[in-house]
Amino acid sequence: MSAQTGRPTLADAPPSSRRIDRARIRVENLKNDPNPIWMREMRQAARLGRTPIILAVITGLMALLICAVGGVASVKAEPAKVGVALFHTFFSLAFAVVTWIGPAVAASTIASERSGRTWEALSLTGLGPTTIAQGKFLASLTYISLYIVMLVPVGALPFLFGGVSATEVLAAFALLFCFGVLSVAFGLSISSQFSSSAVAIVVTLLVAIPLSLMVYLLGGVALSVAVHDLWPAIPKGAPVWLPTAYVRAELGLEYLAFLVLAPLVVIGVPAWFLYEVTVANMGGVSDDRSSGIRRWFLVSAPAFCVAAVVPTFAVPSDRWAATAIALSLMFIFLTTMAFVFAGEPLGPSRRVLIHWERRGVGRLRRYLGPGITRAVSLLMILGTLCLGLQMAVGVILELTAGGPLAHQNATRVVAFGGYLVGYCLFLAGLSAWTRARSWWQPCS
Amino acid sequence: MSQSELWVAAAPALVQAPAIRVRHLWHRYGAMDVLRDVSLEVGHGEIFGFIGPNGAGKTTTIRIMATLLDPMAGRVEIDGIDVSVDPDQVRKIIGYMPDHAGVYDRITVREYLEFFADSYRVTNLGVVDAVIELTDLGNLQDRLVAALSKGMKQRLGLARILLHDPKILILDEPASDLDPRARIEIRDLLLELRELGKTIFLSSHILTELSDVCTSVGILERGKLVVAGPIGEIAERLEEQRAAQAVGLAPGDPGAPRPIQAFVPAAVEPAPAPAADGAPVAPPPPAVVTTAGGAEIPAATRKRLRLRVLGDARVVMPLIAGGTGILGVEPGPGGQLTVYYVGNDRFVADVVRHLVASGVGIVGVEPERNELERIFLEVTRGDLQ
Ligand SMILES: Nc1ncnc2c1ncn2[C@@H]1O[C@H](COP(=O)(O)OP(=O)(O)OP(=O)(O)O)[C@@H](O)[C@H]1O
Ligand SMILES: [Mg+2]
Repeated sequence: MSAQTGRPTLADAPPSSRRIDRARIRVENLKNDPNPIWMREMRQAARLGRTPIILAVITGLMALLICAVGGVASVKAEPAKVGVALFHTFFSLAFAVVTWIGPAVAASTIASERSGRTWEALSLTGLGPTTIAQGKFLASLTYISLYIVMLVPVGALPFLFGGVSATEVLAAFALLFCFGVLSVAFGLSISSQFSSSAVAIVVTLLVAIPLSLMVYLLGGVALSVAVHDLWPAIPKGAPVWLPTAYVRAELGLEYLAFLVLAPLVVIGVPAWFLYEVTVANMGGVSDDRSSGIRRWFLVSAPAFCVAAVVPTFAVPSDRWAATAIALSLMFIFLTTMAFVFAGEPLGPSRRVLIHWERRGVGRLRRYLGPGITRAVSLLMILGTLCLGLQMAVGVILELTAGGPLAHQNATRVVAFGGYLVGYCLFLAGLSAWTRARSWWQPCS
Repeated sequence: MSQSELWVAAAPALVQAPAIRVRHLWHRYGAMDVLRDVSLEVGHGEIFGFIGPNGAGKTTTIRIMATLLDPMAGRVEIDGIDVSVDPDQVRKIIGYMPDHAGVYDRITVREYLEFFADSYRVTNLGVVDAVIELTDLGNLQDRLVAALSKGMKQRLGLARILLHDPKILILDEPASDLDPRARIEIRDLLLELRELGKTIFLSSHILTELSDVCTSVGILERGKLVVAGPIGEIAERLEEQRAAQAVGLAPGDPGAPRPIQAFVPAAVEPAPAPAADGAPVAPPPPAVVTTAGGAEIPAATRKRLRLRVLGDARVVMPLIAGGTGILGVEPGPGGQLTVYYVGNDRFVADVVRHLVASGVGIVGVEPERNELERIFLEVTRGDLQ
């Protein structure tokens, strides 16, 4: 039941009942018995006097800005061009609003429970880090969605000028929402680390603002140039190219790879990571805080490896450079993970061992459990395999393509890749060594 | 970890485990040992007072019991469940009230409790109402939580930890910062909760607030448990020890009484009769007192009553001196009279009635204060460690 909604929880349907009935009861219970933290945060937010004011001010400013840009532009240019300019201006600004306010809103949530001394009472209710994380996530996402919804009327303005279709505007809003999801997840993961909300907000903004600018410039402006080569219908240098691409690119394998799979991976993989980090940070020192991140690594390393190497097939002219970029990206990924794993405990705690024993946990699950040697050995094995795969792809592509420099380029790939593998193994070993020697114990 | 240890950890308790069992608990912050080999047991249905000066390590012990801190060495079991192995199970059966908890902004008392009822996954919609009634928060239920006074917040905190009907309540300084009225209300509430079958573990550095609700106490000093047990029993053993020292036996010599040490029987002791607070510390009474008839009465059963009468106390003395149960009468200034006696509250009432019937104007009656304060001062002086 939920005392907050005042509705009883329906009992689970017997396993013999139809699947549709069981699903219906589950959906019904989502409504009757929603995440308690989400409910409470919504109640509190609704009573915060400044929320509507901030919303109104941001919407008003945005409307003014768009009208001004539209007014100035329409003096000279034709309406369709004005529409496109407004579209890019609006969504660039909206991107900034979502990626700056989203993390800031989320950053205060978990940290404020700690600084407000309500965290202990909350954790003793037995809700568990996952439920707490979900509640906080939903609350922050609802809040940031409010911003997006408030911006919808302003965002529809460019559509009136022409030059952009309604589908593009809708797709842009959907993407904005996805960025909202990522921003909130990012803010939460930082929030879970700190016990003062002010510090959490400052740190989050210090990271989020440069990161969002980088995503905007690299993923927006720079990538649009490459995309223009592939699909000329997409204007060169336009930052908000993805919604346009969804409408204008020709359907095909590339559409599926670059416009469906790649964005899914680009949003899903970091979101999953941020979620695992948040949950791990909320657990106690003796809890198993490693398996989640390790499972993520087990899946995302191969995914990242493949995603980085796929573009080499699409660049016939400069294969060696594309392979080097793929190898470098993989290396950056592995180096980051070496730092993440450096915080591992030396081994599983007594609690974790007893729980493994009781549940008869198998070898693989134990291997993914806490322990610096487990973490580092996984990093070494998986890292070598991924870099090796990329090297193999690079060499094969060079050799099958032929040409005067084929052998030389293949040698370069092997030399560069080999160097990266060696360096990666060294880093992993170093992080294990320093961890094993340090007195430092991660605190809850 | 060996298989047998694992098995022991997983095995169900065959005999009923004590509500709280702490074994050889150590904890360290940085280079400072905050807890040093603390061992104690609290039986079901007891109210255990955990007393110690500031910084003794009470909160640290309590946070370990409440699964919020992992012990560095030693074992803590709540109702037979190891807190460092199954914190989730322990959380279901304990209610922990921290000393300085925060509350959420912009929600009312009722919403606050509803939120926690949901968080505890309580299945009964009537629980919030029941708890509001028990803790007497009815007329505050629509007030904003953040606007409550400290005493009200304390009561709200207590209401919160009752929502999931835990067997064991762990309260860190429940009566600190409370005015006398609020303190008495909390005290009554604790007694009521004990009637409901709860075991209560509470910490305090204010001795008088505890003396009349606790069935047992433990005194912690600089991370070491100096003494633990039912108050009467500790007092008795202190007397024995002092008597032994008086005849030249060092603690530990053959024939000397067992030294005061951590020891709490699991059996439930009846709550001592309520007594009022505020009287000054009594001088240590002699180990054994002798009645007028020559019978020896152990000091632990001897009680003291302070009376204030109209007029000269000396005139009143003969009216009660030598009566059954009266061990001695001492006059004091300003009509004060100290009566040493053996007996219960009824006896006190009889004495008062007898005096009134004899035409004595009684201005005040102060029954014996608890011996807790005296015990505390004595055992934390360091001479018994
Ligand atoms: N997080 C911490 N880091 C370092 N030292 C700590 C920490 N918490 C407590 N201490 C130290 O441990 C000792 C015991 O603290 P604790 O809070 O358990 O005492 P206490 O008996 O509850 O005192 P009080 O009556 O003041 O509440 C103190 O000396 C304190 O300074
Ligand atoms: Mg304390």
